Amino acid sequence: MVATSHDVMPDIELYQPADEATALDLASRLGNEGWLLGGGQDTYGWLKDRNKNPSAMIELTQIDAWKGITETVDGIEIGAVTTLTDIARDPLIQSRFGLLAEAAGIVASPQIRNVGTLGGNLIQDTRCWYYRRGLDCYRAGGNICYADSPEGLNREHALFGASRCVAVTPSDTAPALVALDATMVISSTSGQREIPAQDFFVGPDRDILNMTVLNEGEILTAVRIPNTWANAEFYFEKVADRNVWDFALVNVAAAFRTSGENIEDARIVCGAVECVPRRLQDVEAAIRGRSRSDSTANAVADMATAGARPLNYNNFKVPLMQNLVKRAIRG
Amino acid sequence: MNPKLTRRRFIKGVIASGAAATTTAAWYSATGQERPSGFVERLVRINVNGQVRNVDVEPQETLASTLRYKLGLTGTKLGCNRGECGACTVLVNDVPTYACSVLTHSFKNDRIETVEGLESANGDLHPVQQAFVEELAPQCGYCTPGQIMSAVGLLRENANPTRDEARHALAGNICRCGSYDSYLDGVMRAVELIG
Amino acid sequence: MVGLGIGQGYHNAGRSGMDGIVMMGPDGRLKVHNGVGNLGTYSYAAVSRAAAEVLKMPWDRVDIITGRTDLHLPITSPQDGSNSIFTNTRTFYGAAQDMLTKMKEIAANDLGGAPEDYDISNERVHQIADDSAGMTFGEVAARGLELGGKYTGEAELPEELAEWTQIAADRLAGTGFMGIFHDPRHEGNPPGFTVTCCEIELDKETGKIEIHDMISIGEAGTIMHPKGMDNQLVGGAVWGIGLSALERHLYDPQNGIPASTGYWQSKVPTYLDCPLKIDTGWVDLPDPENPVGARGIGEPSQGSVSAALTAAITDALDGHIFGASPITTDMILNHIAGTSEESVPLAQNNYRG
Ligand SMILES: Cc1cc2nc3c(=O)[nH]c(=O)nc-3n(C[C@H](O)[C@H](O)[C@H](O)COP(=O)(O)OP(=O)(O)OC[C@H]3O[C@@H](n4cnc5c(N)ncnc54)[C@H](O)[C@@H]3O)c2cc1C
Ligand code: SF4
Ligand code: FES
Ligand code: FES
Repeated sequence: MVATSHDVMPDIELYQPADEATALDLASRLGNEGWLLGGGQDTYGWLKDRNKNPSAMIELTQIDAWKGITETVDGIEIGAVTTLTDIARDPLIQSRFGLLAEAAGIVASPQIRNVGTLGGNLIQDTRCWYYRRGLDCYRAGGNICYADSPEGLNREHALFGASRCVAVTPSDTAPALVALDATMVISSTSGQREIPAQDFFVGPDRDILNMTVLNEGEILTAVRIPNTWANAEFYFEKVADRNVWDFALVNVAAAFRTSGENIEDARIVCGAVECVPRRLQDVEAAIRGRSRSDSTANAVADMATAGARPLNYNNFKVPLMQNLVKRAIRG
Repeated sequence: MNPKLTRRRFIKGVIASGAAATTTAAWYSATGQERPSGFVERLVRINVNGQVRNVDVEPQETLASTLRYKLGLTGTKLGCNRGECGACTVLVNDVPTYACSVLTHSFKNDRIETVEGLESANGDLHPVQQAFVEELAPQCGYCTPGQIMSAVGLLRENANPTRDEARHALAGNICRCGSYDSYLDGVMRAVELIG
Repeated sequence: MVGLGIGQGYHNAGRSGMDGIVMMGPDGRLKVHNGVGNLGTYSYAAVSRAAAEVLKMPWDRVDIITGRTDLHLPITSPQDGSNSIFTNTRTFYGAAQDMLTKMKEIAANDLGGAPEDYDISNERVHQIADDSAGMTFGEVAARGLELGGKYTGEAELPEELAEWTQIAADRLAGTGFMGIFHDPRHEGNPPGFTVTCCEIELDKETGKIEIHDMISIGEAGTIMHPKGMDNQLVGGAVWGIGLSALERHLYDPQNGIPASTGYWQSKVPTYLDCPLKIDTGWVDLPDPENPVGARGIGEPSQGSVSAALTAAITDALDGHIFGASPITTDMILNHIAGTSEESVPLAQNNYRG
């Protein structure tokens, strides 16, 4: 059913744990009834619309241990509740991992970046409007996909990885972190685990209800970026309808190591073309040993979108993705 | 499932955990239960425009709601109530923030400023307000308090912005009347007024 | 790719058939009873100035009575459709002229001579030949109150007053010295015109456009308020940018619901979707049909900007015309790639229907 829009928040509880142990304990006790709260920028709309109905919010932003940017022996660690503004402006991130600074600095609007957290940006739910509207589609637990249907309005939807659901990842920072070979640090009352960024996101074939591997009771506490790609040549570009507040139609995050003229290694990752950030390993392999030039870019353009299965209204994403990959390679 | 039952079951669980929670006091009195230890009072003290105000704030209450409907500070407007327009922009520790999309309880130790707090004690307008008046920047005026707060936030951080820096700083504020040019003229004039 | 576009915008910019009332008491202050709304352009104030100018009164001696019908307001055109300035300067000019005529009559009656022998200055009515022979406006108003009749709205009201002007006049009758005027309906529409030129850069790889340069010139008669005029031109420009490039309003044929709810989907232009500066200018030629020479502006600039931007996109794409707006990134990319998504049902889009 289409929910009515209420302009007020529903009557639910708020927990403001001040330390890690309490937060993890609450997360485990409340399970799905407890909504983890970063900056809340992808939370309050859901709640106000009554399209997600948890019983409580667990605010993570009071926990200092999960906030801030620190240098580690082999890279940097970013607390999951660090704001996007802090990330975009951090001198260390700017100088070493400019790719992430750029991606964080282009999210939504200044005010959203001022409170929105890295964790929230990575874990935010898809923007498929049918789903946001509260319709009972597959992802909402129903048994239909409105977007992938003859009359579906699917301009923003996926080229790859469809499995009943054709929604895409909305995050601008996710492709950057996949390109930087980041690791996600996940905690729960039963301990800590680390997952490569690339495996953190899951498509509908594996789990149609969730976009990440996080289980009930688990909290993303930090993101680690190894020095593997520190000071590499980066390219980030996002194409959206508007230049503020708009989700990518396609974005690309890329990192290159070159020696002399030639590409030694590369990471090229696109967002908004699949439910997960799409790493283009074939392209990465094909450009190794070649120069960052028009001819290299043109040679791999088709490869970038090989296997794409456009829907009725998202054909434009094929040339758009190819062009962004070409631009990334050309530099 | 009956949502009330769910809530009851889970609150019992949480009470046992002894975690800090802000919750509806009325619920406890209705059910005759003890408040969990570490319970955060609904009655909070927040610092708004330099004054410490005691307010009864519901756990889920947005800052915009508290400001407008509890403190009568209706200068902060609600356009979309979804983080999509900027009309509700206030400063929290000098940082422009959408009051519709944050919880009041998150800011118990912070400095909140609304458009009402900008005027000086002797009634002089803030230079940004004065400049906006002189440039006739607002048209309908609905987005104006938000534009002002974003501009004040910018000028505290960068007293001498270029027009382009100003437009990036104000980018999270929609003006449906399309007064963007005039607001930018206003910011540039405010820079001169502040000198 | 650079694209250049020129567009023209037109909207009728003035109505007729409305009424004006001005009042004055023994304090000599002019009260303009004004029903024009305020959407933020303050045109209710601008049109009231026409009355002040007729009576050569300083602006701080004028009160605008506005905002509530129980304050006895005449019918005035709503503040819409680019018409406030033209329509309501005519009515308030007329009402003030009526008051001026009555002032001269009272002065001639009391001080001798014919009304034509009198003029006004410094809030006095006085003989042209000897300006020491005169009365202050306050004195004239007080005399008008004593005389009553047409001077206080108790008799000889203009024929054809609208019904609720009649009610307002009835309630005001006898309470002050009154000037009242009915603007007869006339044929035809006074036009408001704008022309916009713009230069854009269209990125053929991303389908994005950036507006490098944009100027809108308005032709709206005498410019009453340059800053207000500028606001109308730039405000309309932002709307035009939305109409031509961003604001697509879709309906969902499966569920019969609007699919562009919220600003995140309806895509109002933001600061960063508009040029850093939109230039404006105007012709400033007085309109012969308006006592202060003014005509409205507001709507026309949306049209000219929208047309100029559409034309610039066409120019950047070697003359391709989409025949629909807004022209969004996907449409541009599909065109360049030769893929057609013309299959988007027309009924789904406001601007294609
Ligand atoms: C109008 C608008 C435009 C936007 N535009 C963009 C855009 O252009 N690009 C973009 O990338 N995003 C965009 N966003 C999406 C998003 O709101 C922000 O990017 C923001 O970063 C979300 O962070 P948050 O901390 O506020 O999230 P929250 O709302 O706090 O959290 C989002 C989700 O993540 C979960 N979560 C948060 N932190 C953790 C954690 N540490 N561990 C486990 N789970 C967690 C929450 O439970 C919730 O499900 C936009 C949002 C709006 C409203
Ligand atoms: S794309 Fe996914 S989220 Fe959207 S309607 Fe289909 S199933 Fe639902
Ligand atoms: S009301 Fe808060 S952003 Fe619109
Ligand atoms: S002045 Fe009307 S919305 Fe900005």
